[in-house]
Amino acid sequence: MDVAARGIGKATTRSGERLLGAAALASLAVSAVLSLVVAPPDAVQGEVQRLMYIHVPAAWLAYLAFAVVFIASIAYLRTSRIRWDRLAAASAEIGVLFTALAIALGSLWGKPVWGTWWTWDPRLTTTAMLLLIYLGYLAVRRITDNPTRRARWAAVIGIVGFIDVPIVHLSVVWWRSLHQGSTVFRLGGPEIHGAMLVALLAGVAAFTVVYAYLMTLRLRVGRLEERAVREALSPTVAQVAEEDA
Amino acid sequence: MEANVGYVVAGYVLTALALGGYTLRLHARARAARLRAESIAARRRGEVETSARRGPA
Repeated sequence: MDVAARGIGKATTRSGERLLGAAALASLAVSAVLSLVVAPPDAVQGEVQRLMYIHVPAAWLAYLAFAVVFIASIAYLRTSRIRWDRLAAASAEIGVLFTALAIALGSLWGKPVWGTWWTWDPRLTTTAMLLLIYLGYLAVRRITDNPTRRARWAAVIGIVGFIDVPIVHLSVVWWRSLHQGSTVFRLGGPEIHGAMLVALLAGVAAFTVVYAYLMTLRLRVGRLEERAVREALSPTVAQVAEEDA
Repeated sequence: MEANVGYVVAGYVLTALALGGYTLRLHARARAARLRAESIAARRRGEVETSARRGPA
């Protein structure tokens, strides 16, 4: 785990952050061209199916972000090192962003295809629960100023809350759902046109780079905010002199 | 042009705004935290210099 932590430390230098930012922009541009220009329109849904190239990556990156929260939470409870808590908090915040984005994009896709912005379908309902769980995770972090207590409470929610991720993913298999089933990860291989698959995978790759960039940025914010709190809480010269007197 | 293209445009614009907006917010938070830490540290340095000039009590 120390090796992983050192690796994260190296990636979060300012030069690493700038490099990731440039890579994120470039990969998003490539992904936009592949999904809006190169990939053909869907035979049934037409142009609106192009929302898949951002909706699916947003959902997958939400899974990844919450998996990182899960692993970092276990690492925190095992080691009590605050950097694992910092990592979990950063990933949870970004995971919430991607989950909210996936829901909003799904809603935009659902209106022309299903005829409704929202329905209490198993996939949609469990995803809404996922958003609420991690909003709760972020809210719990604001309840206490004690860093150890905050990290411990958050770690427990980060581990228990992850149970919903496989439920979201398998909801289309377990229950009758309006939402379509797996297109890529299915028995017999992907059921999708080659150019569409390339555009989808490019979207996932681009969103993964964006996630890595946002993580480096959010980790720096976490470190700087902790430094500001430390500076504010450390005793002043006057206070030390007063205590010495 | 297909009638549903508007949903696609809205989706891509929403994604750009969400990712771009969050990135800008993180930069603003980093800057605010850095300035806050630096201003507290500068005040401390000022106090140290003042007490050094005064000499031991």
